[in-house]
Amino acid sequence: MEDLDLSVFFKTNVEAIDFRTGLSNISEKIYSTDFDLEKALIAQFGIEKKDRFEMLLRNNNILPNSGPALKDFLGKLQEKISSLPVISLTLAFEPGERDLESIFDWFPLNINKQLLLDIKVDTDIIAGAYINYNGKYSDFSIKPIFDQICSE
Amino acid sequence: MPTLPLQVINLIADLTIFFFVGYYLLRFVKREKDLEEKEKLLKEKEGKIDTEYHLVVDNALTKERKIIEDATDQAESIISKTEFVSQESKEMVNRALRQMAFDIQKESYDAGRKFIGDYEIFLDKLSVTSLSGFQNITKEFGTDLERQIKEFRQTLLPSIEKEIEGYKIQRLKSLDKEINALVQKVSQKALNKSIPSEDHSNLVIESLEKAKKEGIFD
Repeated sequence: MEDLDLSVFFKTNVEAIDFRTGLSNISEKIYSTDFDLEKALIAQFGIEKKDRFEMLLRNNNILPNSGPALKDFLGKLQEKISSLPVISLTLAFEPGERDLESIFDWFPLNINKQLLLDIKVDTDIIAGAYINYNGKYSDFSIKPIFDQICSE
Repeated sequence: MPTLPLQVINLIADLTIFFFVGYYLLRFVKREKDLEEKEKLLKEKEGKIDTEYHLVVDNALTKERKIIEDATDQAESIISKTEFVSQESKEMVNRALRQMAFDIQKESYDAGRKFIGDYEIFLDKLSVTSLSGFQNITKEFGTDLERQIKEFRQTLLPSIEKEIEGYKIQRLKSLDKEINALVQKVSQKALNKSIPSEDHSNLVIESLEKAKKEGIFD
């Protein structure tokens, strides 16, 4: 469970909350007589994520028709998502999907941690980022340098 | 049984009753006759009174008609006299008003002529005196104005110039500040827009690298 890569499902804090809510909805219907996992996954996450989720189940040896095992796995996933740390980044631009991916992937590669991104946009900082993580705050934007040049 | 005395008493009682009945019948008949006579007398009196009443009423009506006729004659006479007086008065009043209008017109004309004459004399006098007065006033005014200008140049002008200079400096400073802020803001925006998305992304990664070096993720 520790090695689960959930980056294909979400990168930001908001996406993670949506995904966790989807898992919770599916988990509640597992013991319903008309429960169909495939349909439920499509309804909650769409076809692409459904395929990836089925792959995730196979990689973890969870049988889709095994109610208790599935419920247990979904519960553990929700717990893992809730425990993921969040990093708040203030950027000078609106990041695209590729930008988010490169930022998101930086964390497991460089600090061996998966972090959820909480992105804010403020064009006044010109470039770079304000970083707020675990109560620590740093300004790595261009704005202080620019202000210094202007005041000179 | 002694029946005789009883029979006598009974007979006497019957006789007494008959006597009383007869007596009252006689009295009743007599009273009725008296009443009939009184009624006859009353009717005669009534007839007499009625005749007298009609006589009085007729007399009164005759007198009333006479009074009304007299009053009508008198009223007609008064009205005709009044109309005559009224017509005469009207003519008199008209005559008097015409006379009054003529008199007033004449008086006004005389007074107007006199007023115009007086006013012309007054104007002549005034023009002579005013011209010299006006020349004096102009001279005084000119002197006063020169004095005020001199005072203004000596006292107020330097302080006003100083205030204007101060205000100018302050305003220029404020403008400089505003222009700098504007230039800075525009430059910020321009710089932000001029950086490509890829460079932005690289700068963010650089920031993360720096954060790592500073131990933010420890």
